[in-house]
Amino acid sequence: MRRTVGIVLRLIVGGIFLYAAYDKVIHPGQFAEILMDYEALPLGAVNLVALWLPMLEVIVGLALIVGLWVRANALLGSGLMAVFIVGIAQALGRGVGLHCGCFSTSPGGEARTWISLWEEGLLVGGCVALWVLRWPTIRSLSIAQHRRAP
Amino acid sequence: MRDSRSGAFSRFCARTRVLEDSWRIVIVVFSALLLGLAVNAFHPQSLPLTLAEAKRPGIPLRIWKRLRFTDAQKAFEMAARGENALLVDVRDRKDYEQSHGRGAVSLPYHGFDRTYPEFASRVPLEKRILLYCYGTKCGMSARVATRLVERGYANVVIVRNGFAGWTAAGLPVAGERHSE
Repeated sequence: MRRTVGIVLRLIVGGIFLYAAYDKVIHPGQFAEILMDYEALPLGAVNLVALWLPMLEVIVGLALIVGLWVRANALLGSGLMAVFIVGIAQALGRGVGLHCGCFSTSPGGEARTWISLWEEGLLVGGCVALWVLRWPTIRSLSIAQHRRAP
Repeated sequence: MRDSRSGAFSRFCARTRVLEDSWRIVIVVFSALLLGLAVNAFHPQSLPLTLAEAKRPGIPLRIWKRLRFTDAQKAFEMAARGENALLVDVRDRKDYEQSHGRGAVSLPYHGFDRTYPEFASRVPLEKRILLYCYGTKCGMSARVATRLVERGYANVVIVRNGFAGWTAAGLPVAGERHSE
């Protein structure tokens, strides 16, 4: 059961990372503009981060889907989402109107609100759950339970 | 106390294998950087690695050279003296409605294509346009400025530090938040 939950979670979370990366990889310029609107990065780093972040999402997403280094990638994914949440929150806290960049680079989308942070929060939850499921103690417990079952 | 803390940390590391995973995380992080650079080299919308002279993503250098900058106080004086200048707020419409520089009109970056026709019908091309956005780096102002220059507005000025600079300078504001 735990194994099935782990596989389903991996496919969902990995798929969301790939979906989130798609538009940013296609439109790096628009993503760079969005990153600049967060007003959290030095101007000289904006383009480099705009090229790097989507690829990080691609690799984490693919690795979770195929099951490669799941614990490490789940931890990295949750850290990545936590950074996004902090970035959005600091902009919202300063009253800056953001139109995200998390799943789309289109400037016509809805403005971000505090409530809309649940999307990233859910992904953090999924990554943390995957990470915890891969703890050695949890795995050995799961295997032991499995063996004990008739 | 320190021993118990380091003991707890050791137990946490042993339980989660976080130290073992750290080198994997480093490999993934650097692989993403290399892959990003490799894809960018062949991407049809390839980005320069540094922002060069324009210092803003998405702003062509030929346009950037035509833009001018001023501070909030000077922008206020230009608009107040009626020097054929118009203060333009490029923030979201809801933020404009709540609070904006007195005398400013709204031309939101998010929804520019929707609002521009009305703006263009009211504002002649020779008008001096004083643009401000939210904060310090004026990315939205620069992008709206680019679009206005491309549409024929020749005298476009960006107000440094945006609305934050406007309020910090104690300049007059209007809007729902200030109506009472």
